Amino acid sequence: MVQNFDKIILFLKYFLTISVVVTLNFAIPRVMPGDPILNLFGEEAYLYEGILMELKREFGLDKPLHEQYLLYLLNLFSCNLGFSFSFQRPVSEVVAEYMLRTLILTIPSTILGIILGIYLALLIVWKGGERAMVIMILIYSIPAYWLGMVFLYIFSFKFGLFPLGGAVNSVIYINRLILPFLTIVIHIIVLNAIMGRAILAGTLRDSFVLTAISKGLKNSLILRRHVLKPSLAPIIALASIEFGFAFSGSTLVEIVFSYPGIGMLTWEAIKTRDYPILQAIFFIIALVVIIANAIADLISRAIDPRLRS
Amino acid sequence: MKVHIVIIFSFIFLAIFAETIADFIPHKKGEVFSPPSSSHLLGTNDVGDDVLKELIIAMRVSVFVSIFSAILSSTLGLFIGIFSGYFRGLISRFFESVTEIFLVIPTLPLTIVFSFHLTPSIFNIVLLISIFSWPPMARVVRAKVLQLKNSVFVQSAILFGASSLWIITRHIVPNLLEIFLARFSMLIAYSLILESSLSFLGLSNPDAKSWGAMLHFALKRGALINDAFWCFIPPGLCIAFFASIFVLLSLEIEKRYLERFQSEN
Repeated sequence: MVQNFDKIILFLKYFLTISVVVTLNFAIPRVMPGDPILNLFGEEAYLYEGILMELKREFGLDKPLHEQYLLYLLNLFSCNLGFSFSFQRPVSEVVAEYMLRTLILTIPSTILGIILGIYLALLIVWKGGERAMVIMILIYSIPAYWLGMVFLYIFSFKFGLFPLGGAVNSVIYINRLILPFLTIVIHIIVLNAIMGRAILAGTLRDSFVLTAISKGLKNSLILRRHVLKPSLAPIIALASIEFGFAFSGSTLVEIVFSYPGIGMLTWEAIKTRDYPILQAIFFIIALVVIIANAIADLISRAIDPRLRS
Repeated sequence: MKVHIVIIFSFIFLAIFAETIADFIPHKKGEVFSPPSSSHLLGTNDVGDDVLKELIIAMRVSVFVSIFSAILSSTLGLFIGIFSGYFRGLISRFFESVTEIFLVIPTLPLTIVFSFHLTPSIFNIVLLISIFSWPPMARVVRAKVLQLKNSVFVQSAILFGASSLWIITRHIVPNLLEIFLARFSMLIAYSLILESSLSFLGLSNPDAKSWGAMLHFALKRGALINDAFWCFIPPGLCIAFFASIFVLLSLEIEKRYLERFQSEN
């Protein structure tokens, strides 16, 4: 009973968060200074009188606010996020296409980054590397997009190892993935090493680790069974949250490499002042982050019985 | 710790007198993207301006935006944290939920959406960053206040009939100092990175370039293709250095606090 109650609270929390995001999306273009029609549909809207009229009707802009909100929700549930004038296509189509490419980039890099980062954290915790931590923090403070620029300059421009941009066929595509992938992986490794160290160091102080050491167990066994295993729940929680960060953080890295993902789309949308796209991006990123958080909560509850009681 | 503070204050000193210091560098337009030389120590950028001069002036924007937004957001977080930690009731629950919700919503896309509509000015950027970066502070403060409220000295003060205001100002706030400072220092680094990300996207005031804006122009105007590494290496290093100092300071404060806490108990 108590367990179920807990789950309901959790569900409510994420439900509330999503509704806040949805409401923010509804409210921002209507409350912010400027012409709400321009805010809603982007700057090019007035060039297309016909589509504009249809959109106005679709979103019920002549109706009172609460009806607009209902219409907005209905549109949202049928995946109608508006029309992008700069792409001349529905927003949901454009965003879905770009998001797929971002996921191709972020999912593998997050997984690899987490595994390597936690391994590094274990090493640092076991060997007690104060200096290593300072180096980690220095690397962590480097903006990922700047690191990307440096990589692009050195590897693509100076040594010509990777293309600067250009046509997208499969070989070049893989080639273009490598540098942004590397940039994001480095960032996530460092983040995990820092955060993971804090978690692991906490476990290391527990008395069962001392017992394991005094039993004369092998180091690798102590680390694996007595340090890593009890810390797994917070680490996985952290990992899912990081996925959200990687997803929103990779936006800036993509721009540097002109990798056509969500980030590049953000850049384009800002340049062409295409607000519907920007709004949809915010909505999608927020959704991904929220879902990642919810999964983190569920997984850490499932694998750690201490959290359930 | 002393080293951190000395470096931070020299940064702030530099930022305050940025204009004066930059005046020592003669203002003359050079060739576009000319490499570092004796007349332009860090070379010139896409319009022939001296990069070093630009870097010093940009420091003023970056440093002040990050420090001011950290001051605003940490104050906001402190008040909300104390309130939702100390008092029980509907309003307190409300603040608690708002904190929880805004902890999950990613800040960067949210600020992008907002700043898209606002006129790009330093004031608006500071406002946006501080409105959206208080939740971590509020959560940490709230957790500590909850813990303090159950401590013997606060409970006995309540039994003695002390008013809530007295307890908060005399017993709660002094004990929050270290946690607050650690988080505050982290927030400065965080605001700096958020600000540079926004400016990197071209959402800041182009007349008040920050380090992030320098990177924006370097990428947009083809510093990479023109082999002008002096245009984008220095601002990035400055961001990394400035941010890491504050992160390190924050960890140092936290470590000292933990050590003291452990020796007391």
